[in-house]
Amino acid sequence: MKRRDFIMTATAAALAVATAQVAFYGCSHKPTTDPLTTPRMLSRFCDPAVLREIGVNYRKRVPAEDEKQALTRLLLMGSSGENTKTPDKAGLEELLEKKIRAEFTSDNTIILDRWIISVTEARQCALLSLT
Amino acid sequence: MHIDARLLDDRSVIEGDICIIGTGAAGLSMALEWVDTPYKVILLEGGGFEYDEKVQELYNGKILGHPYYPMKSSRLHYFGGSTGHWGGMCSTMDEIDFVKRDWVENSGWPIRLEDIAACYPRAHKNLDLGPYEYDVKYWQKQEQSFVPMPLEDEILWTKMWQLSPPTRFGTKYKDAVVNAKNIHLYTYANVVDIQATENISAIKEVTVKNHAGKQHTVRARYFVMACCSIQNARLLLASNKQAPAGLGNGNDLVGRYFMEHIEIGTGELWVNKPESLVLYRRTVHKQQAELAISRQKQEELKLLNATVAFVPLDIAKVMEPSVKTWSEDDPRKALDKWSKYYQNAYKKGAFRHVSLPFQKYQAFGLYTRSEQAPNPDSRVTLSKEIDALGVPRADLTWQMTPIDKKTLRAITQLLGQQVGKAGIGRVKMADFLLDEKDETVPPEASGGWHHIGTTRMSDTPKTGVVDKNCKVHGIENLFIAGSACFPTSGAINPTLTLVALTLRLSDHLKEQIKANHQA
Repeated sequence: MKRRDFIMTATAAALAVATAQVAFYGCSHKPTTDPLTTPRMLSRFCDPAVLREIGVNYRKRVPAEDEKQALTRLLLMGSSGENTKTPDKAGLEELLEKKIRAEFTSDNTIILDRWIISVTEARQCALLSLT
Repeated sequence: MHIDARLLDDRSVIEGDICIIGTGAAGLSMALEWVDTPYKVILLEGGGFEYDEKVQELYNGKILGHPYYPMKSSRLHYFGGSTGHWGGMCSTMDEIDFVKRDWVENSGWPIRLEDIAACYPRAHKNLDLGPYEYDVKYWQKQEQSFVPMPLEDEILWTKMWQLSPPTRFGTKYKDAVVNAKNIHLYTYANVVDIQATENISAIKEVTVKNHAGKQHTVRARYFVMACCSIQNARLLLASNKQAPAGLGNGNDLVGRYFMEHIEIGTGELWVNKPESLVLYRRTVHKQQAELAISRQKQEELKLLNATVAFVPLDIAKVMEPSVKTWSEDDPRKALDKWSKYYQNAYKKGAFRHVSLPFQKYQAFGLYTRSEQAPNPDSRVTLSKEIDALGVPRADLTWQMTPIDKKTLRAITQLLGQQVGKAGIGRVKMADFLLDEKDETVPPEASGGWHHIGTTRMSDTPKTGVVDKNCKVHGIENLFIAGSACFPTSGAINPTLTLVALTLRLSDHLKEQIKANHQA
């Protein structure tokens, strides 16, 4: 049997015998709700323990930010570094989302626990790991 | 017509206008172009119409460099050649693949994409591919669910592929060749030596042998070598009675610059809307897409060309590197072992989630395929060991360079940035990519069974073995067909391009033979 033929046959066989599982295999956990400690996208893919581990590793990598207040201040800072008024939950989510997109655009990313994430997401994880 | 060379009287002399050595995708594509022409074509195949262990054994050799598939099982030695086990994935090369890139040493073809573009649609027919369309917009019109990922084309663009059935040339084209009056197919006719004229400016004849102990001589006006990159180089190097370094090897280039596509899992893609990836699904449609590094990013970051495909993660996690699962010398056993490996994985529950529609997967393995930079130390050499017909075996040293690793890392990182910017997912990088200072490619990096280079094309004999028309520099009637002529590999599987290049060579030869005839 040829390589591709085999893959297709194996797939078809598996299709025939396997039973339907949960939708979105791989996503079995619910995100927490505080935007400052919940990287929205990443928390769909990682359980809280992994997020905390990412946070611990960020704090080791950036010891200057190994502190709740510093992390909170940096997270609340606007995309251009300006201080913002503490927004409501929806506003905060919007602010963080905007920052995260901007960081991916400007390549302000970091690799932690193999994940390529924005620095804001790393800080959210770091804050989570301190709570 | 077909003649079994084992049944001829010993030391027969065979004469024709053109002698084509090899009946794989290149050799048969060339031969088919000459059916019903006024020219007598001698088509030489070392094996028969079926697998023959003794003949296959002639391909045995040692792997000396980066781990690679056994020499004996990575190519098939019978009528139809390696189209007997190829996978069928086809796409076109990109413009940048042909140009000289300052950051890629020894890059640059003496021809451009437009020089072979007219031959691509013809090659499509040989390979039973669909319409000659590689623009994703065309395929979107055919299938509404084919939606490209919302990424920036100037960073990562959606490159289309088409899948051949895959066409087994030995089966499909046997009758056309055997029934052609002017095509004289000789099976069990292994070329073991090439003899040139006294001043080595032309080829006079080749010697063929078989396990029946017969030896024959083939004379022709033109010779076309189409035995694949490794065997072409082996034969040129071994034909060293007149030129001690081998024919066409005055500048020590024959056998060098062996290239493969570096294929390896480079991480994971996690997405929030998996349905957006249907276009990139493998094996279901006759078309599929991958993401490729844009020309701009290749130039800006000084990268090679590369593409990345997506495999549902639970399947990707149990996929062993091909170089580990395809480890048998015997190509039939290699395939069996490969199949058993997946059967065992299935028994262990590896495919338990395969019942889910592709759209329901949230995580995918990144299957990256990268161009390999031309490297003179990645090469085919002659062994001291001799095969059953008296020819030194070929040994292979597959060797990579730092830019190969850099490219694997970069495409993964670019994907991470792009899906992050688009807000559609996140990328998790493979362990072997984490250390930026580590320039080595890990041993599990496999090839795509794509043998490229070894008689590279160049305007001058100082930098290449063949000229822009695939003629060996300095030898007026010796040509090479196939991916052996590629100076660089591009990121895509070579079959479509090697067939197109062969058709271009055929056109050139027709013009030349006509011109000489008129003169």
